[in-house]
Amino acid sequence: MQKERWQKIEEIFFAAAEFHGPARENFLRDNCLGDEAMLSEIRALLAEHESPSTSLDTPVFDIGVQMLDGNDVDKRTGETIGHFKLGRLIGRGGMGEVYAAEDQKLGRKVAVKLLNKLFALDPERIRRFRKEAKAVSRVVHPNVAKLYEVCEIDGENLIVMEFVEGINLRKHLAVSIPLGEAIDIVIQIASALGAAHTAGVVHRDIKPENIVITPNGAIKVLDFGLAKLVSPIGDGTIHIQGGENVKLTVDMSTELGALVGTPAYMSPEQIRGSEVGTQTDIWSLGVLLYEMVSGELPFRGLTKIDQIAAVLMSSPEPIRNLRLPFQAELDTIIAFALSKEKSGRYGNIDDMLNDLTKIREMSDARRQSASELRSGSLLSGFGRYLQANLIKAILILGIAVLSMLVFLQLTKSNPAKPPIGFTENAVTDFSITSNPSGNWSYGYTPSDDISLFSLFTSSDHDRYFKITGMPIDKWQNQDSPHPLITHNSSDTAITAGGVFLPPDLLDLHPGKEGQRSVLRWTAPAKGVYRFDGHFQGIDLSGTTTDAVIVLNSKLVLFNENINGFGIPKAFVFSRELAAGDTVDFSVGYGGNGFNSDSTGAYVAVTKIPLSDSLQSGPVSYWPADGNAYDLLGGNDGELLNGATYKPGVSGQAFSFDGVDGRVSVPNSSNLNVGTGDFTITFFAMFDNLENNTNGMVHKDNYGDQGSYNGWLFNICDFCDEIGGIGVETRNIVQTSDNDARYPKSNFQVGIWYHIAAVRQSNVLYLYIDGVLRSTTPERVPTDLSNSSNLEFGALSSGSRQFFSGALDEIYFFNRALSADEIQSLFSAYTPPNN
Amino acid sequence: MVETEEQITELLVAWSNGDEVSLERLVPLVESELKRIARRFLKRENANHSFMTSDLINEAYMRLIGQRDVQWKNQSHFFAVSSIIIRRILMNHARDRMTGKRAGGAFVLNIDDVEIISTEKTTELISLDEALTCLSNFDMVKARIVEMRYFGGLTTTEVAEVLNMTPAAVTRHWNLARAWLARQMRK
Repeated sequence: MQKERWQKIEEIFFAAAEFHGPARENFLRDNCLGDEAMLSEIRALLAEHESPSTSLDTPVFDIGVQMLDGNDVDKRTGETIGHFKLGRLIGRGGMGEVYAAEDQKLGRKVAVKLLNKLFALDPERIRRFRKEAKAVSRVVHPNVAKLYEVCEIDGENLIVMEFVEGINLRKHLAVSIPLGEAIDIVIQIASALGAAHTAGVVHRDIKPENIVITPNGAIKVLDFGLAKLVSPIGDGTIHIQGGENVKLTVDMSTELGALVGTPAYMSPEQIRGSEVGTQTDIWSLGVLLYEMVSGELPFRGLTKIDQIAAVLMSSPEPIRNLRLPFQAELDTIIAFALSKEKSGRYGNIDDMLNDLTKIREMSDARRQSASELRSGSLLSGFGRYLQANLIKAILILGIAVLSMLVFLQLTKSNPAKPPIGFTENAVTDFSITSNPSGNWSYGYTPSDDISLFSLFTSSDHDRYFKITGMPIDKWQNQDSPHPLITHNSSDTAITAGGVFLPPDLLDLHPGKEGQRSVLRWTAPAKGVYRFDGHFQGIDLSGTTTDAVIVLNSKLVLFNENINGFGIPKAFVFSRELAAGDTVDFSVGYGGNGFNSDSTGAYVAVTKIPLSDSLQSGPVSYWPADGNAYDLLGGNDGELLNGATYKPGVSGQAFSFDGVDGRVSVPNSSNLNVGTGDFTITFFAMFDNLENNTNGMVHKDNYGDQGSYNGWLFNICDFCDEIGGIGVETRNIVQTSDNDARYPKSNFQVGIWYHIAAVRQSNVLYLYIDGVLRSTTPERVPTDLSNSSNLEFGALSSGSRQFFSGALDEIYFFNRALSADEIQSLFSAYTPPNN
Repeated sequence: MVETEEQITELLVAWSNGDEVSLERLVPLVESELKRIARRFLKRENANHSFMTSDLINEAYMRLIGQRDVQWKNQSHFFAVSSIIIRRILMNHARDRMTGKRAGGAFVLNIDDVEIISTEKTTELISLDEALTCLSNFDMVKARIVEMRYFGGLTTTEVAEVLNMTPAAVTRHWNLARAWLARQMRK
């Protein structure tokens, strides 16, 4: 539009707006001077002007904000990396982003996965993955999306793959798939897996999202071997808490840590973190087959933990309940694929493929005969019908014989241990399942009318509790003889020894010795509570061997493999802090009021205003006089020897001396605290407490009380989903000096090593193997061990150190790092706001 | 390179004096701050807090420039820059969505497919953006007013400050722009 014309329109518009009805019309006619186009334009504009509100009247407030945080804001479309020109973003996952791209050297369209930069922090992992990628790139099969290359360009790790057009199976599953098509899809996947397995490549992550259906109906399996990037390497662990929008946890040292992603397609061995092989793919394909033919997952659960329990322990409902054609055959195949024990599954994918092919043949035969019947060629059709059914009968017989043979083989190889699950008649009241080592059990009734019981077995006592009237999803046992906890926000359970006090909803079935009890307790408010040995007015002290108080939704308790004290306990919880908040925390073990050689330990964090009285129940705290007091058992209110804290220093976010502590969030605008993006998390793990007569962090007697094996807190920008971050020190310290409770040097002995990285403004601080370092502008590590800037739980004789400021990231490694690796950590570090 | 408050202020001044290059230098600085704050706002939203774009921009301003800026007017320019950024981000997102739709479902790999805006809203945003661009060809002032009000959540008074005009004039521009855009979008 001409500016002059527009100005004219504007002029007439506003003038005409003052008139109404015929007067306006006259005014318009007089002023438009016969320009009909202008006349109707202004008429229309006036009509719009006087119409009720338009969508423009409401600013895009919330959308704007969401968009800023949205998934698509960091797009790199249009960038060129090496000879790859990135096109549109086609996917995003934990590993990184996937772009359609053009390989300008070869002039072909490819898919480029840009690995999350955090992977670069673990060069060993990358190296291993490259090796795997080499194997994957040798797999040539029409159903396998090709892996072209894995390369590093300008410090970025790229995975270049075949560009596959189509929709993924997850979307396809949204509509019901005919049986024939489902079988066909599974056959193609099996065929792809066959080629890969022959080449020594295990997919490890077969799930609908990784299967693409191309426009011509062919199947492509994506991401072969990529799961290896996040799978365990020895006992190496990487915990990465990226700042900002990256939350990545790769912690393969614990079983729970292995559960990155949905457990629905994971095999029991994957969940347990044990060795993964071709049988793992067979399992996942079995899950997929089940899902496609029945429309439901074989192992279901409302939460991840429920799903895990189902995978490990329950048998899927037989398909035959669903009145599908070829039910029995499908059931057989699924049962073989979904045997909990690897040895119970198909020996190789080709066997599964053969069985699937037979079903397809039967299906084809049936379809053909049906259509011929319809077409009226009754005579010949009838003949073929007979023939087809004969084939079918023979095939069924064949499968039955095969099944029998495999079954015989299975029972022969595992005479003492029937496969877990699949024993339909085992479920009468409870389905009770133990893990092979017998140190946990778990089960529930299939009908859910008795929703959970947790069974604790050990050599000396068996006991279990069942809880009626509560849905299964409310209660979980975390595979340990210890706490029974809820994983939702409203309920809390405590296990405590000795005395049972049945709350309303609990129906206790005491074990042989009646020594354990479970107490349900609901936290009255957000906070952390210490179990002091009393419950509902009854003294449980002296009988308790473990006590855990759990609060609401932000708590997760890890508790695995109590047997042998591998990792006896670790509690994680977190809360958001606000400016001016004060959080005191304490670590202790179940000392006074508990058995003196307790194996229990706890961490407590609570927020108490300084004016609060003792009865608010923190383990220890510092009232206004600046001294630390203890609230344990009989020593309530006693002054804690040596447990000191740094009184709030302006500008310091945290201070603690590693024993008991206080977190004070100052009202400082320089810190990113108190604003919702800042959360504090305490995490502790305890080892070998049975050697500890007086606790590793008990209020006094820090020295020469035997050994403690390490502890560490981390404080971090916590992820909502607990399980993400953990740190542990194990077998590090033999405390020998009476005074120095946690000599820094001791972090350098033993077998576990750590890095704690704290990002504060533009400087990266790392606490590596006992030495505090930070970046210099040149990104060169500087030893700050004599500085008083940062403390990560250690205390060097007498001189405490603190860190201050905002924490954005923490990294932990459980192995020593070479000088090169430390250097590369610093080099890889990108300061924020740059 | 870390830009100091002073540099950001300088860029704002330069941009308000018509230097479009400084806008391109400002965008990444402001954008990263906006994103950071947005992320936090969203967390807060989970805790049943509500927020508005203008709050967000205000906070970004306080962080990036804060009290040091004695020239109060820069705050308004800052709001204007932020509005432009939000518009760009929104439109990129909306266009990507539409591209995805037209392609009949491109393959998606483990994507967390979050529907932030509905398809209708997406279509509407795209036609608004197009209409707005068209409007800016012959009436830059009105286009900018819409941008600041709609994308940046600025009030009439704030817009008036940025553009150095009276609130009444802003309202006048807004009224016609609104009518014209609505008509254009209906075409």
